[in-house]
Amino acid sequence: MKVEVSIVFRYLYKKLRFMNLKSEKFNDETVEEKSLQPELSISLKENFNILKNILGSSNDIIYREFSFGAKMQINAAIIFLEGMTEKAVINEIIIKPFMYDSKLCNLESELEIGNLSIIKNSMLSVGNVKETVSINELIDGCLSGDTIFLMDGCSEALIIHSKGWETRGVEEPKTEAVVRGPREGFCETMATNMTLLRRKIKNPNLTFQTMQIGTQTKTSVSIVYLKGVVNPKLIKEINERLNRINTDAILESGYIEQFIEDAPYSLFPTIGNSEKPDTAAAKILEGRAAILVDGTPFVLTMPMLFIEGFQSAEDYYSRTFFSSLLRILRFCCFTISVLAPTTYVILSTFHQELIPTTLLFTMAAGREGVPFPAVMEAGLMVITFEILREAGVRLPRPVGQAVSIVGALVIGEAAVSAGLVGGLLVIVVSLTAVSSFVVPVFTDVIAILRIIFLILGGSLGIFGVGIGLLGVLIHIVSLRSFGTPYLAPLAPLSAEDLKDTFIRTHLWRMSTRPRTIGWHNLKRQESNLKPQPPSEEENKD
Amino acid sequence: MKKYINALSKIIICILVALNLTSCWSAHELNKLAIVMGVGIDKAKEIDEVQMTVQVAKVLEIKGFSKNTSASGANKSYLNLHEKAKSISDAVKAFNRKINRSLLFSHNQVIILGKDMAEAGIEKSMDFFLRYRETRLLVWVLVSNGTASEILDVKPEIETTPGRNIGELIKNQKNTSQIPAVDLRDFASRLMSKTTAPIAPIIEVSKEDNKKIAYLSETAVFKKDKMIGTLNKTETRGLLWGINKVKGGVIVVSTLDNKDKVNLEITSSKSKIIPQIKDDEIYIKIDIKEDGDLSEQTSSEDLANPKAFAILQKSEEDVIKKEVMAALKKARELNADIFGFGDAIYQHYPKQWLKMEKNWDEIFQNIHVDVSVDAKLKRTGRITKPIMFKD
Repeated sequence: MKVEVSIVFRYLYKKLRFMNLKSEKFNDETVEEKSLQPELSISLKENFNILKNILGSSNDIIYREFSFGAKMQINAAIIFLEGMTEKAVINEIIIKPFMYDSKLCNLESELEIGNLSIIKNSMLSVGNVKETVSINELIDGCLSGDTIFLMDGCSEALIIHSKGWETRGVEEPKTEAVVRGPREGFCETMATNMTLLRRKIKNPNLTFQTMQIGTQTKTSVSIVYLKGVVNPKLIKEINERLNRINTDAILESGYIEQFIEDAPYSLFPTIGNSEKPDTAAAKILEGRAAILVDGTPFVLTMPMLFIEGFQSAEDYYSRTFFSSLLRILRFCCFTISVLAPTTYVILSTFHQELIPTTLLFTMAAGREGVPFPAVMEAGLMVITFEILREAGVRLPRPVGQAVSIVGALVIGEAAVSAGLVGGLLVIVVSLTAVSSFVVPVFTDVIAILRIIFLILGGSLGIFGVGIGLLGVLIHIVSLRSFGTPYLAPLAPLSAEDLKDTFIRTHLWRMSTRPRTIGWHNLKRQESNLKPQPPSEEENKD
Repeated sequence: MKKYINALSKIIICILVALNLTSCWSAHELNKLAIVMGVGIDKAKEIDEVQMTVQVAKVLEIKGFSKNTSASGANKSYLNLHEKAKSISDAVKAFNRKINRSLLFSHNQVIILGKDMAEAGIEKSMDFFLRYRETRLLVWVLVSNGTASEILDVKPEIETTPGRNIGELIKNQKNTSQIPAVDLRDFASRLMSKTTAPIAPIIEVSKEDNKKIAYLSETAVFKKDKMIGTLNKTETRGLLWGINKVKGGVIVVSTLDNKDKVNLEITSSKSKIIPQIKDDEIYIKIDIKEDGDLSEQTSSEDLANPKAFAILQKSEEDVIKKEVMAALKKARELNADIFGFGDAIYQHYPKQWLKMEKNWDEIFQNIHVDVSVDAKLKRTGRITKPIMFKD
């Protein structure tokens, strides 16, 4: 039998390879790279036409030709993208000096020999102006919102910084809401995001290392780290992984995440993300690196540990006792959310002896008249909840209310009185659903694990759940995120780092950075910072 | 790529093969189960046959889930089934002809042995309950004064099923310590012992206000597997003192002037049986430590002083000692080693025990038993002096 199967697979495999080869050939034929002239020539007309050819006749590209000088004798042109440039900069700062001021001054002789540096140094009151001869650079500049300045008789051009477009402001993030803590969140513009981080960490060591990824989109991607705190090997590794990405488009940081993550086949994420500058700054300060991607408010942080899923920014802002309670609660919720439906199933179909007698009566009475086996009953409800959740996320806001009303019917009394499910299961599924949102990082992991465990529990009972739990444990112990064991500091156990796991100790006691991440520079603060009344000697004063 | 496909094909084969192995063989849906709440075993008229009664809970009646709630009050929330068969497991299987669900024994609360059955010998019917995986060792064992099936049909007023009612009733006996709470584990371990006599509470039916009520009356004493006699309330407590099972209850002693009564509540107690062999004579010391509170006094003396306490403690010790001696006297009458002296000697003197084992019944009559009680009176309750206090 095995031989036969492998023959079938070999056949399929060959077929697949053949198709691959064919499509590769096809690609070769269709790709027509525009061969770009690398350098500018001396004639304005020629340069202008070259650029016009490359940039095309798209309506949002403005080609503006004009003359200036005392006798209007010098021809020049600017090219910019409407909508990505700031009108005020182009009108007032770039065009106006040429139209008005150039008539007043006496620059003719020098300008005629084509000296762009005079213009750059004395006419343009813009902070960031660059001279270049490379056409590619001009085009990249133009497409990212800068203005190209060309002048007759000159084989160089200026890229004048004039970026400016409509953006969403800094708003409160929708994903990581806090009761106490800063309300600002990252936005889609990378420059703003950089500022937000820089405002948190005012330190020259905070380094942004920007590169462009995506052959078509040319998306700016920036690695952020705190020099002296971060492990240099980590930055090297991130750079290597980023450089390996050779794709056409990066539209969101999720693209980057999926190209550089350690365990692409794992359910568990090995790269964290956050929408909050304070969270990102805290991670950078612990010795992690962050990756900002232009066009998305989600910032990647790495390496990511399992316990990060149970930590929240607010844990550090509120006092230690309540934070610790919440930590423990989150671990419980993770367990409930993964195991509650399967526990219901294994108790009601395999291990009735484990249920207290009175509860057994309730469960049995609820099950009476239910047409499906408990696994199916639970599976039905779990999937119904996933449907409701997805619908709730996607539906337009005005329709949202309808979902909650219908949802309360489907997962609620109506389902029970319709005889589809037992009453207890409704409570179990609701609890499961609510608990999964307590651990937002793992919500998607939980949803999948829950179904896997439901199948295991439904077919093999508590034995199956045991196997499943062992499997998950073995898996997450084997995971690494950029060289850091995923389950650190629990496995390998690092006793000192337990200060920030199940219990979040006092901030004044956390004098070192996490050993597994920040081993480069462990010391964070002095170790004798416990608040205390002034000593008696001081009191005498 | 090839590697993955190879691995994938292997995994698929494994799954296909494994599909034959799984079949959820031990899965029972809850609505396919009949939850047994009580088991009664009586002697059938036919020789060599037992009559078994199982009590199955009707969960819908219990929870009032059924649509016409008016009817549910009148309906019984349990169903008693009877079956005659050669053996217990034969009977258990035979029930499948009467009920369309399989019996679930893991929530069984009580095993009630009919008196006829108990007197004739219960060895044959206990094996099933120890061997069968579903029955718990925590199930209570009782002897009914009449037939077991009659007890299981006494509809309780508060609890839902008679089985559960009796189970809770036994748990409640820790408040008086006059009836032993014997679970299957205790009962079986005494049954397995060569000398120790098994005991079990006796349950009876009485009529109060034209309603049948099941109540625990006495303690049955077994010799080997046959019931041979009973212990009354005092004797039972005497026995419980000896085997370290007293949890609570009240000891009534006389006041200092012997006119009125003082009640002393037992808050905790501990006891030990220490055997000793000296010059071929067996001495057994029963060491009892008791803590108690003053719970009621009918006199008007002030008892809240060390002097009075010392006297009360002394008379408390006497009462306890008397109770134990009463139990011992009864045990000797029945010639049943209810205290487990034999096992205690075996544990301390295993070599000498081998010689005694055969004629233990005679030796048991001649053991010197010494009861030493250390009773302590600790608190006086909310008030110290009595209401009508006179100097």
